Amino acid sequence: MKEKLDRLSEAFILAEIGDPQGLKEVLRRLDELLQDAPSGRMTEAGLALGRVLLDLISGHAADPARSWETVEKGIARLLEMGGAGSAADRILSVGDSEGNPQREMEAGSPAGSPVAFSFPQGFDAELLSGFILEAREHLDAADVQLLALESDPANLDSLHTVFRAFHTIKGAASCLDLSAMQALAHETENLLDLARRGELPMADRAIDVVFQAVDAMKRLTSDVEAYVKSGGVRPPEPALDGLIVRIRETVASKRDGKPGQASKLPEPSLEGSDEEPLRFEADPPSQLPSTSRSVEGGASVKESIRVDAIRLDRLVDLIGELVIAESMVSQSNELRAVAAGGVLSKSVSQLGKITRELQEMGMSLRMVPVRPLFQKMARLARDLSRKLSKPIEFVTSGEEIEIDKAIVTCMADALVHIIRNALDHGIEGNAEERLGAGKPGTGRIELRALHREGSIVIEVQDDGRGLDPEAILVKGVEKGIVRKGEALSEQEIFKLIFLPGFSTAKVVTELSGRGVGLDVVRTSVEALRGRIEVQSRRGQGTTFRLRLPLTLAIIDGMVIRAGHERYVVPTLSITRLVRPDPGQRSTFMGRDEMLSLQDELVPLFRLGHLLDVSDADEDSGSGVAVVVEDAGRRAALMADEVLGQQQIVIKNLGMNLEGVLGISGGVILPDGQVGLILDVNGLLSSRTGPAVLPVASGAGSGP
Amino acid sequence: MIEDTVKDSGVRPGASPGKYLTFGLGDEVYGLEILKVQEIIGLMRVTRVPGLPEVIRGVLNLRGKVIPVIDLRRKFSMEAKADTERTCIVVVRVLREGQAVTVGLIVDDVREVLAITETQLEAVPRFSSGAETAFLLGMAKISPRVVMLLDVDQILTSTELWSLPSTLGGQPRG
Repeated sequence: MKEKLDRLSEAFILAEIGDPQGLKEVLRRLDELLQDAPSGRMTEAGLALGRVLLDLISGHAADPARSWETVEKGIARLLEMGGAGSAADRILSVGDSEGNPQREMEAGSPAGSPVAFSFPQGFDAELLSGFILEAREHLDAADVQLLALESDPANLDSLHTVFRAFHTIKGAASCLDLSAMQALAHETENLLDLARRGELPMADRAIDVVFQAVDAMKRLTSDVEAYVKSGGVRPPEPALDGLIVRIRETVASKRDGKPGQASKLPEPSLEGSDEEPLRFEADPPSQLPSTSRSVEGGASVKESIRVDAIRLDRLVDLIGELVIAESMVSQSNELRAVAAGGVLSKSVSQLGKITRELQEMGMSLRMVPVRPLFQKMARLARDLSRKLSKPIEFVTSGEEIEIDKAIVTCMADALVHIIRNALDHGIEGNAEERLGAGKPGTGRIELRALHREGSIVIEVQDDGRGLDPEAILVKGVEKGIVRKGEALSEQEIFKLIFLPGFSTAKVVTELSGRGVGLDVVRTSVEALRGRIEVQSRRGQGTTFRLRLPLTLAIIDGMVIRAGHERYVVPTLSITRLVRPDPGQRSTFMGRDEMLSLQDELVPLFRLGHLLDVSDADEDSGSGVAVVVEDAGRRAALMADEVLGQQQIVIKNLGMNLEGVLGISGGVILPDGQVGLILDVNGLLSSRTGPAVLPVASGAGSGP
Repeated sequence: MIEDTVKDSGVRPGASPGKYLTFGLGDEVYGLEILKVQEIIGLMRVTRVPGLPEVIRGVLNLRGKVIPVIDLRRKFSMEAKADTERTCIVVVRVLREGQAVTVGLIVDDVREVLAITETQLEAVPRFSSGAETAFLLGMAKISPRVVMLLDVDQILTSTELWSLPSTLGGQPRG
């Protein structure tokens, strides 16, 4: 006790009036002290002191100098009460001592607000933002561990992680005066603590309730975020009563006996004073079960540092510039004239090596493993399977594979759609249907990530009913997209499901069937310069395959020249390059051109025309045709020259390109000039109309 | 609307005394608030972006950042003229909806930085055409010349760099 008093007074001496870190330290010491508080008076005094400290920390003390004095005297008072009189003198000698500190503090402390749930009066955007980030991390971790607990209720590591998540959030929330979150965290922490001590087995019901608490906490966090972003506009009060009641019920149903005596927690908590309805209880005991070893669930903890995203972008930009500068040096004619093998030549070679490594490192900075994404999907699948009463085995693999952080967000939405579809329509509703088909009663959905030929492939495979080509075809005819009697290959039929408004679901459920999902998925995958494919076997299951570029920052493309302008065509869109003989080219109605390839006729467009390049080679006896494909449409783009395939860094053009059909972005070419990236979809749309069926072979009648 | 503001005092609220970078365009001299000028570069190759209005000559690479370049002559509907070795690009940086945007402006030649005082500021006379006065912050009389002070934000906003419908290479086929 005396030791704690000492530490408290030390912390105060070190702290300064405008220094939140120092003040937080004081608060922490105060908290530690109060855990051992022997007398009610001391506790009361301590609580009041805590409130004043919080005011100072959060910056809305009306008169900081005055509050500071109050704190000073408060600490002195505490020291006296604790029998450390001399220390009290030391404190007081720093400032004035007058009057009765006890009464002053009570007068100075804010009235306990009667409303149970509220937001802080003023706010510190930075503090709150930091809190939001950490809270979300904790909640995500809690999600993962809860899932682990479901399959292995005896896993103490997981339980402890979930407990810590709520405990930490509670502490931070109370420090920031976020009483709604604090209250919820408190109740949940209570439940989890009982579980930790073995007094409450984590059965289905308990886990469910904690999941709900996690969700509610996530919503509250978003509320706080909205509060910060809007600059202080409070979102509507959350309705947590129902949930709190459920938590308490769950606790009550299994609880024996009272929480044990107060003892010191392994980590300091930043609990400030509580509002009226919640009494400040001493923290429950926290003897760690002896079996628990690591707290991070077994995997080795990788150290990481938070970096400001803007700085990171700037770093990556600079690396890009360095690469260009380096190549201009090493490719320069002057350098070639220098004797190879000489000092200069060797140094330049070394420079090149280092630059390339730096470039790879720069690219990798943006990469994150897909694990968190997959874990979110696991959570979603679990919730859905519960909701639809379809038991599911959800298996993931390849979580360690890394993709560009920017892709992850878009992928989340796409995967959610696909998994929803799989659960809603793919997996059979009743077990008999499955057993009858020779499948296990529990459905299986596999989520895989793999590397394939320089791209990332994400697959969602289910063992449900599979796609029904006949039904799709019927729907296609119905919608007028397919001509009756037209012969389509299975792949072409499957591609129909990605068209807008297409759904063969007999019943539109709340989740899917409205025919909006897959179209959106395709668009977003293609916006990332990826592709989506589907394979299916009736009665056996369906696999959706998403092919994505490793990173959005770099494009793998073919640089082509039309006149003096250079363009980049994404490699993914190119099917082949052809140097056509005059015989392969023909005109239709004297105006439109076509190119005859081995098995088909494709429309031919001259890039010079399409892109309005004045000095493009019109004769194109020696031009190259780049055959591209997008959403089933094929076309040949006639260019003057193909300059080579490259991986180049994409640059934002500094303006909105939405209205410009045919250009999707820019790159900086190795010689420092800006090159434009062709948007194949846009180019073809402006010429051939919106995406319809693939051009049937041999027809040649145009779109 | 603009007319109303210009009506009485003639000087738009925006023109205040301070330092302006002056440059020539056609026969006239214009000025830009120096605080908004990031740098001046010689004319370099600009990559044309098809489908954008003629006012935007294209984009260029400024130390790793790609910025759009506006042809001020075109913007002010002046007679087109070939670029000379004195042609420069004035790189300006303004705040737009909380974001910083960098744009290049092509001018005939760059002159000096002038400190313009309150007394030198003048009313903007009403012209019959009326349209171009929208870009003027005000005018300064620096004997014997008149320097027209430009409103960079207005130039950028009205150039529709950020919202624009357009199609490429002719009409789409049916």
